[in-house]
Amino acid sequence: MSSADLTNERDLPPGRETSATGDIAPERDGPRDTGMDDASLHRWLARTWRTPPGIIGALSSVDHKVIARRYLITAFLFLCLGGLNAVAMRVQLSGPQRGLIGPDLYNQLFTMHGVTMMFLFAVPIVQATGIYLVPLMVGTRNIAFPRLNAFGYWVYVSGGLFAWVSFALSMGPDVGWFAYVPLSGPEFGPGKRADVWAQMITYTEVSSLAVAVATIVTVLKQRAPGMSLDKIPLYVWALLVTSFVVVFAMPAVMITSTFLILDRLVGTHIFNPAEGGDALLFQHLFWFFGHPEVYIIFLPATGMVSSIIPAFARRPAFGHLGLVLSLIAVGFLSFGLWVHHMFATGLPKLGASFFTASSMLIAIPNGVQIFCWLATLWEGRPVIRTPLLFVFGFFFTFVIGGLTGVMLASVPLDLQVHDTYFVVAHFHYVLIGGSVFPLLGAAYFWFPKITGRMMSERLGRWHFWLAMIGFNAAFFPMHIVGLWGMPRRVYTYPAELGWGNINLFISAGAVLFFVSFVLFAFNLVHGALRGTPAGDNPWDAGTLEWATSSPPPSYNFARIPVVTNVEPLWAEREALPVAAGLRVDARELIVSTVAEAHPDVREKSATPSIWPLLAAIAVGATFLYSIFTPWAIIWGAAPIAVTLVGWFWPKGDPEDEE
Amino acid sequence: MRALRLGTSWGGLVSGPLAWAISTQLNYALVHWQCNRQVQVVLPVALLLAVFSLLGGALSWRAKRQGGAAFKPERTRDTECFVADLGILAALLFALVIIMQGSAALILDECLR
Repeated sequence: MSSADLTNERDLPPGRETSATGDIAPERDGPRDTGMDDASLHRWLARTWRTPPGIIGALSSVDHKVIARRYLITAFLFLCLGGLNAVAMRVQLSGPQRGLIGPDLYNQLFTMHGVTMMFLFAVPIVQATGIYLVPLMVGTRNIAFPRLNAFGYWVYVSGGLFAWVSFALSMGPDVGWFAYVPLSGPEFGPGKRADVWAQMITYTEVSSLAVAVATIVTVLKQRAPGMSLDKIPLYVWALLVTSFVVVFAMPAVMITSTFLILDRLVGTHIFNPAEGGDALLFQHLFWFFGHPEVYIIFLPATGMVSSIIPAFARRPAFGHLGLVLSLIAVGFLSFGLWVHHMFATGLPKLGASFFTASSMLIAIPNGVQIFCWLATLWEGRPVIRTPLLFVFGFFFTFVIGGLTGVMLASVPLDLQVHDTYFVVAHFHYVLIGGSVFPLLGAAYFWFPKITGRMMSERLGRWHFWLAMIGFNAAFFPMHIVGLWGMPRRVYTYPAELGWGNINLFISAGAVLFFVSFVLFAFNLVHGALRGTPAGDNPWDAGTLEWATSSPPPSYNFARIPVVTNVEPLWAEREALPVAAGLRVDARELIVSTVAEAHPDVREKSATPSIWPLLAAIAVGATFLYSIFTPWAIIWGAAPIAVTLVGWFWPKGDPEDEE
Repeated sequence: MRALRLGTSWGGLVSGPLAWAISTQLNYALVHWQCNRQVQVVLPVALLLAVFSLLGGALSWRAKRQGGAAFKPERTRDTECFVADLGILAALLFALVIIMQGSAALILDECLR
């Protein structure tokens, strides 16, 4: 398939204002891109796909790149806040019996650190990266359900503000990031702190689900012609699998937090054993979400690694089939590991062993990925740049985290080190090694695409080595202090235990790690303002996002590319074949078939609208009010209904009338 | 029957994860039952489900060799083979996980807590 003409030719020059900014549909059969010259095409598309000017226009934007940039910046700010929490805790723990932070504030600090990093940084930032890159990588002009995507962002922001304003008012959750009952229940959790945890979860999970649904539909139905299942980039596969995991995992934690709110506010006894409830049900429900959550964070990172390595090894990924299989297998297996977080709860040993088996065997698909990446580097001609350095850092730290993971999958060892710093060390190696290092590599890799400018390579190398040394200095000794018996979540410890020196060393490492992020932030700002212009494809990479300008125009591609290879830009060095026939006066996309990506129909993409923001405000206010009274659901239903009616009000499109 | 004769490329992709999910949930629930009645069910159930996983993989294998029941002339063989390969490998992997899970019953006492 060298090119695809989706309709008959009709080419009119742009001569009148289109309705791209309003909800009035253009005439059904308008001008098309077939045969149109490049300058006219650009004028038409820029007018049709632009985000309206002004504050209302900016708040109404449904451009996936605009939303993704907001997500990325917001998530980075939450990373800074969560990082400051960690620094405060490390200062307190740097010596025995320091009185800088009391137990009450310390409880809030470690809870807010976990909640922020998991719900406000890690998940949103990997999804945000997907929102930006997936439509570009699959060769479409916008994400599916763009208004839902915008709604997801606003709900996420309101959830984050809700949590952090509560913390500022000394009302921050203090029950750990997983808020086990009975500690968080009505018997032992007075005040509103546990309610803040429960509703903050609801906000962020609604947001994650919205983004996941939009991503799934984009990948399955909006791929460029020719991008059959075997030609989908590995990063897009990773986001597809992750989004399905989100759809099946997140409802479990929303049910958990809702049950908790019901127990606390309405007086149900779902988690109260004294009245026939089940406290352990909370842990089962939470970890049915909680373990897949680890893979929701990790799988997109593997997709990033699978994008970075081929670009710098100068060859396609070795074992494309094995890498796709690994993603799918890990996605499924992630749902069968949750009980390994509950080995200390007295479950039958034989039952627990089923989860040990799954926990150990998930190492097979993960190991396949590692060997495929190593083979790609081995067979290629690697060019060592900052993104690849972070991938090497990922290999080193994630393999250590994986090895301690196999150790912890063993019930006897898990029981010995349960709730000690050994576990803290393990999951930071897995989460920072497995997700943050690839994310940092991805930041250097895709920054030129997002801003049109390069980040400093010299500062990048300094950043990498500071991060590697700081991270390992902070977290490796935690294995040792954990084996010595230091428990998690203690705000201080007596000098007689002899943990002072090692904790001082850990704190020094944590500060160094924090400094590396300060350097990273400087490099980001410096690169955005004064970086060298990047050009369309500064790394000479092979996937479609590099086929358009940096930063991409509002319409992504002037002509929709036709894909013939998994690395289309390497297969078609001269010029990409393109599809024609889309209208240029309306926001039209190609909807393609699931397996083969044959062009199926032309579909309209939603225009900018303020209603997603208004709906998010109504939903956020309802969630906030509901920590005080259950009647909030009744009162909140009315404004939510009004905003949804406004959102879905018929646009007058002919297909709406049919 | 056509699906059995010509194969189904996605057979292993469905049978493997499905069999593993049933194995995890069913055997987890059966531990109490086995403890109360002292009848060995965990291992036989695991073996049956491993076979079920492999049967799906066999359908994928057959689709790879014979084209598959869902294959249409306008579709490319590459995509069909890609899905079939995923199906075969997924079936093998999940059968291995199921057997590992079930083999715990050879070592551990079902009443041990």
